[in-house]
Amino acid sequence: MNSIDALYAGFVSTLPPELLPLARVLPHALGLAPVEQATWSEVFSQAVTLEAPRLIAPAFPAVQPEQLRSAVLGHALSVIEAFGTDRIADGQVRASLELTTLLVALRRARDTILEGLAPGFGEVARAADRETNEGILEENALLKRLGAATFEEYARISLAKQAVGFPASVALARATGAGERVEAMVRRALAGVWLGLQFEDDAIDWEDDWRRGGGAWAVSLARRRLEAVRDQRADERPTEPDLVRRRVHRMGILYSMLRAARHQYRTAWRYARLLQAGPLVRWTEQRLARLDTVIPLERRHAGYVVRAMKLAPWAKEVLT
Amino acid sequence: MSALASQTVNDPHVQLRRLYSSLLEEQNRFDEFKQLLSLYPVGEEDEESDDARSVRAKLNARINEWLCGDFDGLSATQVALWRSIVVEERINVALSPWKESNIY
Repeated sequence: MNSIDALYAGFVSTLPPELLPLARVLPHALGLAPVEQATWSEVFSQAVTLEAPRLIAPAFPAVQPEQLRSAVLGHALSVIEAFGTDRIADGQVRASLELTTLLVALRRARDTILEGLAPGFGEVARAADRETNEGILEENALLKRLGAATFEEYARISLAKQAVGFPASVALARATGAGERVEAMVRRALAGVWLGLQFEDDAIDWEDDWRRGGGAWAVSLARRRLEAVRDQRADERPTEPDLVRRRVHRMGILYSMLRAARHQYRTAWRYARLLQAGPLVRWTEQRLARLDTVIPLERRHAGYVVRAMKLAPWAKEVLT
Repeated sequence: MSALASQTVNDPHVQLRRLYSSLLEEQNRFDEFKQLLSLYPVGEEDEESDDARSVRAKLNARINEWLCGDFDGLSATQVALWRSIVVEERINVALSPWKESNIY
């Protein structure tokens, strides 16, 4: 069994009997997997998403196996809980009593684990929950009203959304006596990881986001760029899909988003290298290599990255 | 044309790669391809209907234009596969902490 699945199974075994059925099929219940049997390791294509502390742990020579397990489980529970809360907030999942009770149990278990790992980090994690929720609300409000946004606003709100991705790894650094300088480097490395993934994903997935009706960053960024070009407010709010797409393509927004993702991965790589966190160095190198291939293609053929995503299953099936 | 070049042009795998590249590089082509695929009726029967054959012929003619005449044509099975992926979006992939999962 994959380690994250084993850790989650261990958490599930501590739950009261009435929560067990839902906890065992949570990826499916949250709409993240096609079948009830799906495990968390099968849901995410990037191990860093649920196991960030494991990729960064080599930075802490004094780390004990039990400390690492605690940090990974604490991190995973934070991310899973945030997914659940997000899904309920945007209406994709119904907030049943059972689900909300399970999410409370996830938060409490996470708090206990992180508090045990490094005193005070239960509260740090709860503060991160609040910051993430506020980031999500701010993002939803801005995108739904099709507000114009700068890349600086985009980065600020995205970072707030990712707040839950930090406490467990920083707690691990604290628990191993790493010191404030190292903790700051861990935060910077992880900020690069989370923002890189967010920007890349928002570029690839923008048409789906737009179709769901909640707005899309690519559209809001294009709107702001159009205002800058015309030196006036872009009061028109095109809703016709082809027109919106043409504007996003013409403004080179996806290219800029991928470049921003690359910049973030590069930052993550630099700090991961300083920390001597080998697995994270290798992971960021893979992301950079991928973007170095894709970015010139997106520049030459606007929308390339979206079409590549749409055709990826076919290409995998037929061309490999 | 050399024998090797001719063989390469006639290689169905190479032809599919060229189609794939041409769709990636041009949004209008991708849109038209998707639109024609959406017109392709997928029935329970094993045999392709006349309507379906007609849509497939039109699709293959357009691809042939895009690839400057070096395309043997998509089979009914291939069109059905493309349709399920591009039009029905049965399979989807993506990546961040918030959306990197497949969404069903």
